[in-house]
Parts: sequence; structure tokens; C-alpha cells
Amino acid sequence: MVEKSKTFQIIAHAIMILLCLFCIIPILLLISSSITAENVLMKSGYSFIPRKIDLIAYKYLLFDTNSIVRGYTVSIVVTVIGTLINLTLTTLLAYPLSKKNLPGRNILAFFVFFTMLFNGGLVPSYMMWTQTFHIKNTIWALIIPNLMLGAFNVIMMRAYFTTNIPEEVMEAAKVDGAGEMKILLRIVLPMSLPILATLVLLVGLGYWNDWINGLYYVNKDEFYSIQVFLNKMLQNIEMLRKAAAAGASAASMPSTAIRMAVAVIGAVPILIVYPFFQRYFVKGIVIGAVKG
Amino acid sequence: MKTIFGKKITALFLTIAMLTVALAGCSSSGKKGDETQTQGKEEDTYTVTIYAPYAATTEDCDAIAAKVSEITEKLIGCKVELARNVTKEQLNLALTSGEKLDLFYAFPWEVSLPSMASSNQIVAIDDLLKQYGPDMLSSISADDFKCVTVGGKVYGIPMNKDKAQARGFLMDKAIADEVGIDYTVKKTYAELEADLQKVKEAHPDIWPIVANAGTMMRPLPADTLGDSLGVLENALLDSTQIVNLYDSQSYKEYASYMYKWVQNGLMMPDAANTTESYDTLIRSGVGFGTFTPIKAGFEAEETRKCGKDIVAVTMYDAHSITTMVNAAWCIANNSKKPDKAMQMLNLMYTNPEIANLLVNGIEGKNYKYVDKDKNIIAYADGVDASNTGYSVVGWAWPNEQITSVWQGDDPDVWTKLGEFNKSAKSSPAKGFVWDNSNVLNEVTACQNVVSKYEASLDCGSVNPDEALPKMNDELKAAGLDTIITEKQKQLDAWLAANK
Repeated sequence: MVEKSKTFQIIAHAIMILLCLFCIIPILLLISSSITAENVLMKSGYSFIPRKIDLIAYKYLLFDTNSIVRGYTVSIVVTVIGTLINLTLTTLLAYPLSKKNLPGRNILAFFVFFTMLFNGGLVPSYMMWTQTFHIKNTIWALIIPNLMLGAFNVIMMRAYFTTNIPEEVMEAAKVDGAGEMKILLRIVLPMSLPILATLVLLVGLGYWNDWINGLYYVNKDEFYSIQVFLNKMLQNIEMLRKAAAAGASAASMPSTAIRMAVAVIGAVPILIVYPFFQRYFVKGIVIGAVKG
Repeated sequence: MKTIFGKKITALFLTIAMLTVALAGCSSSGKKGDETQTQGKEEDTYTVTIYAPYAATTEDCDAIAAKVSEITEKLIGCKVELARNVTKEQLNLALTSGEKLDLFYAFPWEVSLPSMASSNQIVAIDDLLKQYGPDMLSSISADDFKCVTVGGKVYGIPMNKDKAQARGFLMDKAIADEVGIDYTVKKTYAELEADLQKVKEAHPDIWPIVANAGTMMRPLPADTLGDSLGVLENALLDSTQIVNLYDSQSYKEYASYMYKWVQNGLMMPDAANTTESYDTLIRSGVGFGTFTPIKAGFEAEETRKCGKDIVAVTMYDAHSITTMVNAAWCIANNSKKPDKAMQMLNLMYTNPEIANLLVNGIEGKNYKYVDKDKNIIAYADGVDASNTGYSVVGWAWPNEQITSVWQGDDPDVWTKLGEFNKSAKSSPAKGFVWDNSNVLNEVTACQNVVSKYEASLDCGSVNPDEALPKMNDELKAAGLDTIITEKQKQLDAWLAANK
């Protein structure tokens, strides 16, 4: 028995280490090539240990400090505000839905579920956001569409509430004179830290990585998040390349090292934040999967 | 219990109602602000909204729009709002959603003129042109107008850029001189091969041919008739027989040479997977040259781009086909005052001051005069291509030929470009605009096949003797013959109507 589990441990570790390498190696290569001199990169290709270190790419990007700093600021503001709003709304929707005695619970739940299957499509949503709500070229364009409330998150949270918070606890609180709001804030939420952390990470990542909203709803550079900025840069390269293929002359394009450096800059904050949430993340997913 | 719950429910609904009111308050107050604004503008001056491509900061766009507005308010009584950095997605959304938009750029490789015309997204400008743009009407040739004509109506103003191209091979002048390449004469593949061999011997560490970010500009004179699915094999000849490009002799010859060159080390291997542009590769001394389209003023432009002296060998003479011309400026159907938009477009095409502002930015901020008499400019002090807030892409504007010349370019570049455009041989199908709406499914299927094989064939990564027959079988199965039949039918009808 002990022997068997040892073999299992060895194999499992081997597989996990391999998977881990698959994730880490490209990032190392990315970082290494972002600090390699451009012509060395051209001549001898990528390598894990930079043959000739050159920070020109970062210098170039830091020279354009305005865009980078603004991009970071927009990204951070959007991520923080968006995640807060999202979590508040998700909780306020999921909690009542988890109550078995909520009148019209099934209909409400259906409305939530329905949005997972059907939506209005791009053009109608675009028209709604731009012409009814006028969020084009405002900070809300990066916060509201698609990301502010997700049916999947609501259902996940409701499942957590119904399966992990014993009804007896809530009833006890009610007997002691707590109202619904108090029960939610004092009893339910403290017991839901794993799912909250999971959602913070999922939603936060969603906001941090989002560039679609920026692509559709923003064309003023004061509202470019770091991802939109990066994406715009790559798109300009792509546009110029296509134009060149169709015969128009193209301006010169940013070089490899700079693209690598931009990718590093875009990913680093998430890499830093991730470990702090990781333990909740794993716990939340496991609980949801086993019991939900 | 029930009543307590009832109270809670009421409270909840009240909260929702309050929130809704609050939100509605926000949105409606915002809307009101907008309305009064637009109303205010409509009373005194209309604002023409212009969408243009490529990088620029909002700050610079606003500053330039303000300068342009000063001029236009005097001349045509309207203001200008400028947005650059517009992407294909944003453009499509703006067109389909009815957003306010007056003038925009239409690249044939991004949007389709026939489909925009048939779905009523753009305005037919024949009448407006007669009334407000007589200068444009007289200076643009009838041939060029045909390229932006759909169903007998004109839908745009062709960008006054290079409207014809020769095909050839650009190379590093220093090395070419060193090994004694004669780049003044026209060359065939075999002659080029001999030259490249010399380069290879003198500089074994340099690839004689490099790709442009995984693609190659095929040195073929074919008229692609819109999408390369069914082409005129040689636009320099008079045949109007549509054939399958990938089954043609000239493509086979090209692909075979590329394959051979990869095998004997003249062409960089695995080029279809590179993401580097040729100018980066040549600048850093990895490559010697690449296939290229050639136009007047081309060498100066490439020299600037690659940071080395560049020369080019011609392989096929200049020819002009529809897609080289029909990059156009259009008036969106969403425009509330198409007449103002047309007047603005006319100014963009004929007024050098406005054209210069829109193309090159503001003097002293984005560019400075090097020689005011000769109208030669350079980047302003402390500004260069990497940090300018307003990227200069002259050809993407209605008329780059009335703007200042950049230092390094031939001072007569615009005259020469005009002559070059005129002297080029027109394809027999120039002016024919392909409408693929009847065979859309086949086109999609064929494009999938093409994208599967094209890059690797173009870059010589696969043996054309094996890959080409396979590709052509798949193209046939995907319905290429249907496309060719339909295209030939449209082309014949067009030819008959335009005899």
C-alpha cells in the first residue's frame, strides 16, 4: 500500500513537474528574449540565456511612459472598480436565489440562466450601450459590457450558498434577531471566503485581460487599458502588413524585443498577485466541484 | 413570516426601483447634455466626423481637428472631429449601428465596397460630386472612378496614392554593388538566381531572400480581381479569360523556384513561421532582399524604412488593377448632412493646407520645414517615428500628392508618382468590381483552403509538385469552379457594358 502510493507520488510529481515546465519555459523564453539585443535575436534566434543583454526595448517603452503609466492606471482602476461592482452584484443576486422560499425563484433563476445561452448579439448590444447609455469613450465602457455580471458566476455562487452554508446557521441567526442583510454580511459572507476569492480572481483576471471592450467602445487613448494599448500596437502592425501586401507602402514596424517586452509588462502584475489568491482559488474550485 | 418576507420583498423592489431611477437619471442627464450640444452645433455649425486609420494620440487628433475646423468654418461653415486608430471592428460597428459618422477610409482588404453599397451603409455620391466636387471630378480619371462604381453609381473617392505597381526584388545596395549585380535591367527568375548565388558565396551568413512576416509578395503580374480566387493570369496582356491562379504556369514556376531556393540555401527556411518584417531583417543584416511591389519614389521610401540604401530589380512592368485603386474615402449613410461631408472631402482632396494638417500633423509639433520653398519637411525637433503622436501614412488619406514632401524623398516625388500612375499598363479588367455575394459560401470555403497552403507555398516550405495538386483538388471540392464561372459572367457583362 505504502509502496503503491510512493510510485503514484513519483509519477504524479513527474507529470506535474513536466506540466509546470510547459508553463514556465515559454515565460522564461519571453523574458529572456525581451532583454536580448535586437540583431542578436534576428541572427541566432531565441535562447534561454540572452547572448547579449540589451534593455533597449524597455528603454523604448519607458520613454513612452505616458502610455504605459496611463494604461496601467486605467487597467488597475477598471479591475478594482469592476471587480468590486461585480462581486457586490453577484452576491446580491446569488444570495436571494439560494433561498428556497423566495417567491418566483425559478423564474428569476431562469432569467439568469437564459443569458448564458442567448444574447442580443454584437450590433444590438453595441447600439444599446452607445446610443441608450452613451458609455462610448468613458471609463464605463471598460467596466459594464459583458463583464459586470456573469450568469455563470451567479450560478456558481448560488450553488456554494445552498450547499455550503447550513440553513440551521441562518435560522439560528434569525432567531437571535438578525435581519436578512445582517445574516448575509455577518454569517454568510464570512463563511464564503473561498468562493469570494475564486470570483475575485476570475473576475479580476477577466477585467485585467479584457481588450474586447476597448476594441469596440473606446477610441480615445486616455481610456486605453494596458491590454488595449498592447492590442492596438499589434493591430497597427497587422494593418500595415496587410496594406503592404495590397501594395501600399508601410511604415516600419516595432521590433520583436519590444513586443516581448510589452507582453512581459502586461503579464507581470497578474503574476505578482496570483500567489496571494491561489490557496483560496484551489479550495473554492474543489468545493464547488465536489459538492455542487 | 409571510408579512416579514413581503416587507423585505417590497424593500428589495424599492431598492431596485431607486437604483434604476438613479441610473436613468445619470444616463438621461448625459443624454440631455449630448442633445443640447448637438443641437447647439446644428444651429450654428455642423461637425463632420472623420474616421482614419493607424496610430495617433487623441490629444494630437483633437489639436489637428481644431486647426482644420478653423479653416473649414471659414470656407464651408462646418467643424471637424477626427478619430484615428480606428479598427476594422469599430468601423463596422459604427456603420451598422447608425452611429454618427460622416467620412471614413475604406480599404478593399478590410471592407467590401459592393456589400457596403448594397446594405446601404454608404452614400452614392454622383450628384454630390457634381455639385460640390468638380475639381475631383475633373482630376480623377474615368477609369479610376470605375473602380469605385457599384451598380452604375459612384460610392467613393479613390485615394490618390500609387495606383499601379511593378513587381520586383528589392535589395541591399551595398552588397549588390560589392558582388556586382546589375539592378538597372529587368530580370527573370534564372538571372536573379545567379545574382543571389553570388551574394550567398560572398556572404554565407546572410540569407539572400527573406520573407515579410511569414508572407511573400509574389512577383506575379496577375490581376487578382478582388480576392485571388479566379484571376487574370497576366494583367499586362489583353486576355480576359479567368483562370485558377494556383493552377497557372506562372504560379507553378514561382513556387518551384522558391522551393528550390529554400533547398539550396538562397531563401531563409521555415519563413512561413517568422513574424519579422523584411525591413527588420534587412536592417539587422540577416537578409539581403525580398520580393516587393515597386512604385515611383519607392527606393527612397524603402531606404528610410530599412536604414540602408535600397535598390530594386524589376521583374514585371507596372500594371494597374482595381484593388490598387479602389481604396477609397466614402460618405457614411449615417451622415446627417452628406452635402457637408462632400464639401469636406473636396477640401481634403484639393486644399493643401488641410491635407497637410491631416496627413502630417501640426507644424512645429509633429513636423518642421527643412526647406519651405521646396516644401520639404522632417520630423519636428525631439520627435521621430517611434514617439510621434501622429503617425504619417500619407497614402491612406484622400490626396497625399498635394502635401509636403518628406526629407529624403525626391522633391518631385508626387509628379513622378502621377506620371508613373499614368504610364502603367491598365489591366483589361481594371474598373471591374467583383461582387461575391452570390457565391459567399464557396468563397469562404476556398479562402480556408488557400490560407491552409498559401504561406508555405509562397515561402517555399513545401514541394509544389506535391502540394499544388492537393491544393487544387481541395479548391475544386470547395467550389472554385462555381466562383470562376460567376466571376467570368460578371466580368463579361462588365466588359460588354464598358466597351
